[in-house]
Amino acid sequence: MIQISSDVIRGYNDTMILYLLWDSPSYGYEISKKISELTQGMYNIKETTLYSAFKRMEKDGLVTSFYQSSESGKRRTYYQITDEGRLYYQNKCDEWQVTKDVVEHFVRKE
Amino acid sequence: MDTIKNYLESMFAQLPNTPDVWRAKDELLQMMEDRYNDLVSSGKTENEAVGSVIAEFGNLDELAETLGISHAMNQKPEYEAKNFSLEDAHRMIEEKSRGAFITGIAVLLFICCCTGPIITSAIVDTDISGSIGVGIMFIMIATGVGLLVYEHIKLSHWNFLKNEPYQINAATASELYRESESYRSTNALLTAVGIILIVVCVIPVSILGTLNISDRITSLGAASMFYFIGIGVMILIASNGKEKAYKEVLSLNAQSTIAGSYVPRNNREEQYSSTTAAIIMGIFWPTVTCLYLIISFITFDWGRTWLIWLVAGVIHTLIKNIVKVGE
Repeated sequence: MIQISSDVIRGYNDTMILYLLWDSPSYGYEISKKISELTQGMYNIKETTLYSAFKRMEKDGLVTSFYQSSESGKRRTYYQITDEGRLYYQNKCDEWQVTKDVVEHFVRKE
Repeated sequence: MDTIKNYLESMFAQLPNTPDVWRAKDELLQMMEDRYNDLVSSGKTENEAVGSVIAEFGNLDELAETLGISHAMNQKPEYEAKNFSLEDAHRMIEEKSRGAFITGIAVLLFICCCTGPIITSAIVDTDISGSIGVGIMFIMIATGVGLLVYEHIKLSHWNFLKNEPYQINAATASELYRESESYRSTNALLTAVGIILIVVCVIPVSILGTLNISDRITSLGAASMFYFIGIGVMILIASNGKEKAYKEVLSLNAQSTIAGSYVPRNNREEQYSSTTAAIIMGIFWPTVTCLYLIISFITFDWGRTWLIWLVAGVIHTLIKNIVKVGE
C-alpha cells in the first residue's frame, strides 16, 4: 500500500480535525480513531502531531478546549470548534479544490 | 499500562518543567490510555497494544515549537547524569536514617553528660564520688564524639551523590515519593513525642521539689530533666534524619525539568528578594532557639517562655510574606 507522506498532508491536518469537530466537541483519541476509520487506515495521525495541531489551532482561536468527565469517569480534554474555525475550514476546503484542480493537470492518465 | 507511562515519563524527563509541558504530557497520556484500552478491548494482547501505542506516539520534536521549548530540545545536556537505582536509594535511606539515630544518641550523651556529677554526688557526696562523676561526664562526651566521627566516616561513601551528577528515573521517584509520604505520619508522631518529652522535662523536678523529700531526690529529679530533653532531641534527630534522606534522593533530579517534579516542595529553594533577606530567614529559627534557651534558663520560667515559639511563628510568616518573591 502506498504510504502517505506526512509532509504533504501536514497542511491538511487542521482541516481534517475541524471537519470532525464540526457537529460536536471531541477529544484526542476519538479524532485520531475517526481519521483512521474514515481513510480506511490509509492515514494514521500520530499523537504528537495531533497534539501540536490542537495547540496551534487553539492559539489561533480556531478551537477552544475544556475538561469533561466521560461516562466512565475519565477526565479528558475536549476541543470545540469556534466560528473562526468554521470560516478557516471553509477557506481550506476552497483552497483544496483549487490545489486539486491545479495538480490534476499534471497527473498523467494512461 | 505502566510501560506506557514509563515510556512517556522518560521521553519528557529532561524537558523544562513548565505548565505547557505538563499539559502536553497529561494530554498525550490521555490519548495513549484511550488507544491502549480500545486496543485491549478489541482483543489485542497487552504487549501488542503497548507496542502499537508507542509506535503511534510520534516524535517529540514535533512538539518543540508548540511548547516553546525548541531551545531546550536542541540543547544537549552538559553532562550525562548517571542513574541512581531504587535499591541503592533504599540502602542509602536506611544507612542515613541509622546514621541519624546514632547522631541522636551522641547528642543525647552530650546533653546528659552533666548528669554524671549530679547523680554521683546525689548518691554519695564525697570527693571521690565527685571525681567519678566528672569521669563519667568525660566518658560520655568522648563516646558521643566517637559516635559522631564513626558515623561521619561511615556515611561519607555516599558523598559521590553530591560530587557527580546522578538522577533517579520516574518509577523510582514516584515509589520513593509514595514511601516518604507514608513515612510522614510516623515522622509527625515521633516529632510530637519528642517535643512532648522536651516540654514535660520540668515536671519531675518540680514535683519532687514541691514534695521536698530531700535535696538528693531533688537533684536526681534535676538530672532526669536532662534525660527527658536528651531523649526528646534524640527522637527528633532520628525521625527527621530519615525524612531528610528521602528528600535528598528525591532532590537529585534537576528541578527545572519534568523529572524534577517530585522534588519536595519545602525543599525547593525559597526565592527571596535579596541576599540579606535570605540570610535573615536562614538564621531565623536558630536565633529563636538560642533566645528561647537563654531566656528560659535565665528566668527559669518554662511555663511561659514557650510562648516565644508562638510569637516567632507569627513573625516568621509575616517576614516571609514580605521578602519572598512570588512563585
